[in-house]
Amino acid sequence: MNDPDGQLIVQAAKGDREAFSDLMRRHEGLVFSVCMRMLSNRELALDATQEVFVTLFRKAARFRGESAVSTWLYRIAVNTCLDAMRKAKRRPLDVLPDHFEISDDSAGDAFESVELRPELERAIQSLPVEFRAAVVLSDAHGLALAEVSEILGVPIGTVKSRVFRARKLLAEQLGNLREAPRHQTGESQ
Amino acid sequence: MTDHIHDFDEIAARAAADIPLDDASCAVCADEYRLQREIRSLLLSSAHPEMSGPEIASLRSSVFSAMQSPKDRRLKRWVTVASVAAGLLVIVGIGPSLNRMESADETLAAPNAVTTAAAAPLQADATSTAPDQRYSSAVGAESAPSLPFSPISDGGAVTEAELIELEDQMLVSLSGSTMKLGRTDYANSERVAPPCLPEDPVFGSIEAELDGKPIVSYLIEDPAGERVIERFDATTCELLLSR
Repeated sequence: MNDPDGQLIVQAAKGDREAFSDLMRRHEGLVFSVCMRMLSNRELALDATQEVFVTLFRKAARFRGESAVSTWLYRIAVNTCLDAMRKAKRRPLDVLPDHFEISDDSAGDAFESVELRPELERAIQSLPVEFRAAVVLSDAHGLALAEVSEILGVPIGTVKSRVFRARKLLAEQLGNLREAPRHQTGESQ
Repeated sequence: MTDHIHDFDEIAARAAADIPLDDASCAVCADEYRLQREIRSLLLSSAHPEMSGPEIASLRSSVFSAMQSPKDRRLKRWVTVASVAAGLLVIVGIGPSLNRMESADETLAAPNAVTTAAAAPLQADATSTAPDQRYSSAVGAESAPSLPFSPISDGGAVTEAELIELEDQMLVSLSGSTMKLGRTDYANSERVAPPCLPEDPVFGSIEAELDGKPIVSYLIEDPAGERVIERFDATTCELLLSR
């Protein structure tokens, strides 16, 4: 097996904590990033990330190798976030505040788009959850639509449609990019 | 000239894969394609949220702690349960009856029961037939004093922490039980079968009220043969927790 993740998960399934630790190190950043974008709350995202890896460890033996470990991990992450959102609905005081905690240091990177970030994150958060999951995986994480389809468990046509509509909604939220260059949008903050 | 159809899903897919439009002569399609690419590009270029160093350390520590805790909890609980059971044997004076059950072993006579308390964990393992005995008596008489946990229990109004404690007790106490509960068993225990009874084999249940809402937790065996707790909203049968 050439896939290092595949080897690690096989070892982790046998109780090898070192292998599991390696696996976690390789993916914890991406999992947190997905959770953060899905939940827009740092505490919830950290909790969800923890739950994803505990679930991964408990279910490692069930991994059949039919898809990449990362695909499986993304699926667990999305499902965990959906669960967290469902729980949040039952306890509305605890969750999804109106403001967004985008306090990570990476926001200081010299990307032009970073100026838009709070607005961008707010726009992502305003999307219906199924659109959000599709566009976060496809565009923020750059996954192929076929992989997004596998992660979300929906046909690829549905993914295309969700991504299209999500981008349209984002464009509406962010202003008409065709008429308003990015730096103008950034100035509005 | 054939009618042109704006295939927006295809436009979205092409924008995602950086594939140009076949026919860019349609202004609507070209416009949509440009917009889709701009939004995608914006998202792709945005920095990913990251964890800080302490957050990463805390995450790893929590995950490894959560991975270890079930075993630790199980072991601790066995020690507690076995110690209490051994203490009860001494206090109630059941030693002689144990002796009758295992008449071949003279060393289990009442005076020695005191010393068995020290070997409580081993004793708990040795009495591996206990879960089924517990089950039988639990169904017949739920409050039998020697039961560490009844397979059919009513937790009443509980806090989250109390419920987790009860669920853990159920998991530990009935982990070796081979006796599955069915609707008939609930009828035998003069209880109506609780709602949301899963398809998986059920070995125990707790009905309780959490935050004013009726819930029911089951100890089930999942398709992989693992004993897990599944907690449901007893009104809607929505799965609230699986662990």
